[in-house]
Amino acid sequence: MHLIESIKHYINLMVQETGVGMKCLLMDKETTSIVSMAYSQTEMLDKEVYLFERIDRISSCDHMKYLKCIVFLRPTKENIDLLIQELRNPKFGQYHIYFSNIISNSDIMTLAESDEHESVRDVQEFYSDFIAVSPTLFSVNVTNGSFRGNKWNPSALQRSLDGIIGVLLSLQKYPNIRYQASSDACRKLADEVNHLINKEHSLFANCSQNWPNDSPAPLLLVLDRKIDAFTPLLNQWTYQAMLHELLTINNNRINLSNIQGISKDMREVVVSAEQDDFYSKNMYKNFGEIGINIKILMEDFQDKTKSQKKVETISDMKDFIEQYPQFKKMSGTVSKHVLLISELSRLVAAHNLMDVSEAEQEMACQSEHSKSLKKVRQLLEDSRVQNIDKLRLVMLYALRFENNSNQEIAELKKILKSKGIPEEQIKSIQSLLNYAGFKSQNQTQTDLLSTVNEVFKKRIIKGLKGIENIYTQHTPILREIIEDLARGRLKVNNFPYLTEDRSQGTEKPTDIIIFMVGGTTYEEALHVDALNRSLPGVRIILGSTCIHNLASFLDELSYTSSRTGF
Amino acid sequence: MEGFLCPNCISRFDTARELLAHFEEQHKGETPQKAVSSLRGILDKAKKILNTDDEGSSKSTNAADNEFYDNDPNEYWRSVQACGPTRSYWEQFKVRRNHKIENCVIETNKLLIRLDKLLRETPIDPDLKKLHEKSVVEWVEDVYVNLCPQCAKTFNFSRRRHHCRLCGGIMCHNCSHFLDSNYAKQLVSPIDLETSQLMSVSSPDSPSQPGALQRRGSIISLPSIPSSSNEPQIRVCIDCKVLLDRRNQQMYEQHSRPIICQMYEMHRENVDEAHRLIEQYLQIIDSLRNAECNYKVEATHGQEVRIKLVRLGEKIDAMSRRINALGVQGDIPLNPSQRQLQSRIRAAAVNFIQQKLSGLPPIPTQAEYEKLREEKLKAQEAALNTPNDPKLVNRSSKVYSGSTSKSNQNPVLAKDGWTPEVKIKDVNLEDMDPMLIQINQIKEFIDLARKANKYDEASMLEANLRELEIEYMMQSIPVNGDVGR
Repeated sequence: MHLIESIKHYINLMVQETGVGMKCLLMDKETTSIVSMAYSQTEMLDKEVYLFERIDRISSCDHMKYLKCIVFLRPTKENIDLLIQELRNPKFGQYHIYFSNIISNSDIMTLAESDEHESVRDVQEFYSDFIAVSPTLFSVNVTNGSFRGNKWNPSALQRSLDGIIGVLLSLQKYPNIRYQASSDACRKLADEVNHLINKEHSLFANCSQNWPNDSPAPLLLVLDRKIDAFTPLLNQWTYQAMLHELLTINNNRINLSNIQGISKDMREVVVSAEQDDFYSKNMYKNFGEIGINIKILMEDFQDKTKSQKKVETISDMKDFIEQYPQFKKMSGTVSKHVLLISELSRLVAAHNLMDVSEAEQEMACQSEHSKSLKKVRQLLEDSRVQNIDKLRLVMLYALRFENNSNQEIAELKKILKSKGIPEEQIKSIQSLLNYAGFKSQNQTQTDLLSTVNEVFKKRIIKGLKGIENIYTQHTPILREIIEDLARGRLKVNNFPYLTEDRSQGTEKPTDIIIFMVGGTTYEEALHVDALNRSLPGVRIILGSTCIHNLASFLDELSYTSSRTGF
Repeated sequence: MEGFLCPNCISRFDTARELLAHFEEQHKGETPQKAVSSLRGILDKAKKILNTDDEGSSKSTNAADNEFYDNDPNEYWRSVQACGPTRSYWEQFKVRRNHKIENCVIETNKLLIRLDKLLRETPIDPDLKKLHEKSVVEWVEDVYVNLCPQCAKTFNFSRRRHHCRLCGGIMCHNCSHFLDSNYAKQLVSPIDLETSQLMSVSSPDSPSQPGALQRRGSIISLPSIPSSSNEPQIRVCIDCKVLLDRRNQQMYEQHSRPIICQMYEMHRENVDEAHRLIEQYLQIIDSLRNAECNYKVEATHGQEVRIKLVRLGEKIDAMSRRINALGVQGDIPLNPSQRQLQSRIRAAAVNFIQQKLSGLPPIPTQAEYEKLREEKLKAQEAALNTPNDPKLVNRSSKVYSGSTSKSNQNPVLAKDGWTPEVKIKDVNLEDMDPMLIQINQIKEFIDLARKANKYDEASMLEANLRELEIEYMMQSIPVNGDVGR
């Protein structure tokens, strides 16, 4: 169960089946993301794939018949239409077509009929219809919100279904399915997955074959973001989560072009655990630790630079040449992370994020109304605090103390307005309460909230100047759910089985796939990674419609409320 | 256990596992699913009955694996992640496509036969010519067609009916196309090298283009006015022209090989060769670092390979430069994709040289070699004192394998942990384990093969040796356990 490796296998197979020679890879927008998360361009060049084209942008004039074309597309209607056009007037010598998911027979027939030039050499399904962010995290990059009111956004439902089926097939899992009872959307998605598994029984039958009889069946658990709306509202202090919250990670890429005086090759940087050792070791570390580690990295690098400088003898020269590639690679890594970390530090200091986060964490993990209210009021008056963080604080306050008799949500909203925050955004506070407030939830929610870890642990970390304590005491509900699930203690009432004929309820699954409708967060990914390390023999994979930071979560809220009139 | 025979190709395998792997690899799709599953059933039974020891060994390696990746579960899962399933639609696709294009192919062939007749046997006399043309294909009677099928205009005194000489259909003059005789001859003549080169010059530009324009439905056809030159032209309809153009295009594509392909092929050969040599070189370095061979022989050999690699690197560099420079100074500007392709090939080559070639470790000097040898002997002594701690063995192998390729981990482990015993028992050959005799023999062969510069064989033998050593180690574990107690 390694998501990135499974995608890599498929890409390698594509290249291998296409054979030797110069190749072009023809993709759509999403398969481009899928490939780019697994391999860098340089790695693809090594596989003799020299050109990368998008099917929706392919230029009409360039005929390159001596190239073989690997076609890697999602089997959507638009893609099929575009591919038909391409085959009617082929630009490449051979086409080897691989679809990322199950394709209908009728589409195959239409394609066959349009291949008048006999340029197609292969047509196969390679089940890789998901974006593998890390070995244990996948997304399907739904950008226009999962919900319309309480209903699914139909395209998001389809995309989620495709993604889950892709993951199940590529990892060879024929799972039992459980879902969050309080969410109709979860039930719907779980139903669809089950339906498709039954329809494509032959594909899944093979999966259970290589599954030993005595071990528990894999489990797919479908959750709803509404179960925990706190997590996406919080400021983050671990490297990856922080990068996403403050600089926004998009398919492992960060756009830095709005930083002043940025050098040309740093306008967009890649943060991929696959290709970047430092990142893979530090992505889940907190900000203080990273400060120390980047220092070590820099010192190490400076040592090397010094030793590189005095090239006097011939053997020095030889050593230099031998070490140069690593040196060059290292220098890229060092300057990238130094840049990222210094930008993060700047933002933390400039926007007083330490204090903001402290208040957030208190609201998330304690319930001292008056103390929190005082802090929030104080921060709303702080000129360093950004508007988005002010909004964030009031949202957390509203969500936390919605039912408190002394709550002053209306008052706080007025303050926000006086600070020049647009009406639109203030409305999103109400959207949030409609989305995940107490009134909108049934018993499950309150049950779960009571289980939230309320232990307050302050971690003192010495390191980079300016950071002394970091607040990471909040634990997402997801962690509790997974722990219960792995121990066979997750309540069947709240999380019923969809496929009751295949299981009894108290078994302890070892292969767990969680899908969270409505977006997950890197904080949750971090906890999944930690659980993967701490729970012996258990393998957990987290997937979602998208990966949120506050900005994207606000978008999600506004999409959700767009049809409900709030 | 005598071994297994593959039911399809009767080759012999020692274990059920091997046969199964072979069967899945070689005969995938050859037999219906049923046979495979029944075979699998039998094999499973056989496995259970025999309870073969490779089952046990696989379990133990699994445990070792788990320990290996203790620090990062992701690496463990990466190592066990297999490629997911696939489903092919190729057969269905082909059937449907053939069905669809069959007509097209038959039609084209008919046209070519007729064209051939027209070209070869046409008399010069206009009346006889017309008769001959009518004999090639039956012309449609004028009375049946009142409108031009292409432009839907009525025929009258000024817009007269014309016949396609290839299918006999009727059209007006404006909708007629003309094949000039050179193009027509090209179509019917069997391709040889010269003509294909000739076509490579002419084809993409002149003849096919008007046809392509017509297909997009433009009604006016200016270029098809018969030229006044004495070259005879053949009047055809748009449908026939499209079919012929397509065939021409296909033939052209089949037979043309642009210069970039030839250069790229050479380039690729060099790169592949370099990959092979790098592998070989790293193996030499490994065996030197493990201090288990004759230093002089290995080092000189390593030096030779290194020189070869340097030369190859130069070749790769030069060829990729040439590819990159292709067409840059020509009159016709390259299209952007072509440009990009060439520069990417160059980039990949540069990357290859930087990453793989210039970063190769140097050959250890004699002094270093001696030092390593001493260290190794010490390590062996230490290992002998605590022979039963698999963790220790594992760790030491980890240290070594840091520099070697991943696949070598197990063999290194075997060599490190257990070679001293081989040497001790070397003294009395008589009561030696048959497996040890085998191992020693193979070692001798390897030396011989190396001296004879037969590196392929040497590496094959080495692989055999590793397997044997692992097997031997597995056998000797319980024995040692007793001694330890």
